[in-house]
Amino acid sequence: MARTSPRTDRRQTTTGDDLTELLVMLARGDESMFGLLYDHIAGPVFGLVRRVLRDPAQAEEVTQEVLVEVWRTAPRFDPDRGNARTWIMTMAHRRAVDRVRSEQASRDRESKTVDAERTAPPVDEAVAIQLEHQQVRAALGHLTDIQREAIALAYYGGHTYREVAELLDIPLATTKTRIRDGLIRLRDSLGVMT
Amino acid sequence: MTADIHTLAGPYALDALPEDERRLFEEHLDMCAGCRQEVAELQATAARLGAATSTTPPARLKEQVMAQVETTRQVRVLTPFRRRPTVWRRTLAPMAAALAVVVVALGFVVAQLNERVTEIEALAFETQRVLAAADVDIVTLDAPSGVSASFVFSPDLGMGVFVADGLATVDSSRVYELWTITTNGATPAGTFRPDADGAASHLITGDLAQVDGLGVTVEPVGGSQQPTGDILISGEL
Repeated sequence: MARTSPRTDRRQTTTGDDLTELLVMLARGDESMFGLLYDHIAGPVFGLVRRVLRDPAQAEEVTQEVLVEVWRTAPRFDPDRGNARTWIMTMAHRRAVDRVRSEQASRDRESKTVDAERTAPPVDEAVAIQLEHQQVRAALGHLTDIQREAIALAYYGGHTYREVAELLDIPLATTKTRIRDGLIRLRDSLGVMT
Repeated sequence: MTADIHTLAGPYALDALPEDERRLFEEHLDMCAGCRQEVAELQATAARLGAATSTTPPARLKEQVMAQVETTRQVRVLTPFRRRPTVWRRTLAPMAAALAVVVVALGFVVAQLNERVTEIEALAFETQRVLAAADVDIVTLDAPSGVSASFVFSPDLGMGVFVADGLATVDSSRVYELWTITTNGATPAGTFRPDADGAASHLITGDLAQVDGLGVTVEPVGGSQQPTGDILISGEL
């Protein structure tokens, strides 16, 4: 129970490649290694899912779903196509977004006005994202305001680019290119490789 | 349109495409290596944005996850079918010396299988080339009820793929024959048989810009020089 804090340091120093090796071992059915993988990736998954869902209880539920799914589908992971962190975080984001959209759809059925409530606040949040990782924060600082806000609304807010266009009041085509250009710039300043 | 679809790599990597556009883009991804590479890089970038939000979850979560993992079975991944023919080819030669008679018969079957697999692979490859062509066009052909048929083609490549579903089987003395129609009449474009599910596909090469339409008839095995059966499927290009 109280052992959670010392893990933080270890988690932050883990490179994507250690994780990749771990996941490849898990893919062979070695379930004893799963605790180690959990220690490395539960924090990032939970942080991201909670950011998108903004509800700690639901975030816990979805994090559990994602981590069990990582175990279940580990044999499908192909290290030649990317590292384990990307694979897991992509899965986590997709799940969180699916949850947001299915809830949004059911709320839309109940009332159209609630949707406006959900979509209104994130603009402020997008501008004031607080991130622990200095490198990522610095890289986001190199983007134009529109690029940064569009990426934050889409990724952290779980919005489609169509919703982003509406929220930022910019044309659809512009939204698509701002998101892509912004991500390319982030990729280059973070030195991301696959 | 192609320039436009590439920009979707950004929103796709952030799961920001509406469902219909996501499916469309995933189809494009199957055919565009450039986009696949870009998506992989942008997803890795997004993962960095995600990891930056890292928050320690409540301690009970680990116990819950570990307990569920213990009772969850992993998926099994099968080896792709495509690799098999090569193994067959390699193992067949040494066996031939010892089991001459059996292997001669078996070898014949395997050779046929290999040929068939090579054909299927070639068709799949050519179909992909057609689908990825800048001038790709799809025509839905007129067909009897229960049968669907279309023609996917690229005049630039001089290639087209006829695909049909729901075709009735024909007895062993007959085949389906495909015809290209030009101002000079009908020209044979190959014969085919549907598989057990009634599905068929057939590749056509040549100057498709000159072709006005397509037709399908049932003909005696070996095909005919001019259509003798009724026209079952037809359409203008």
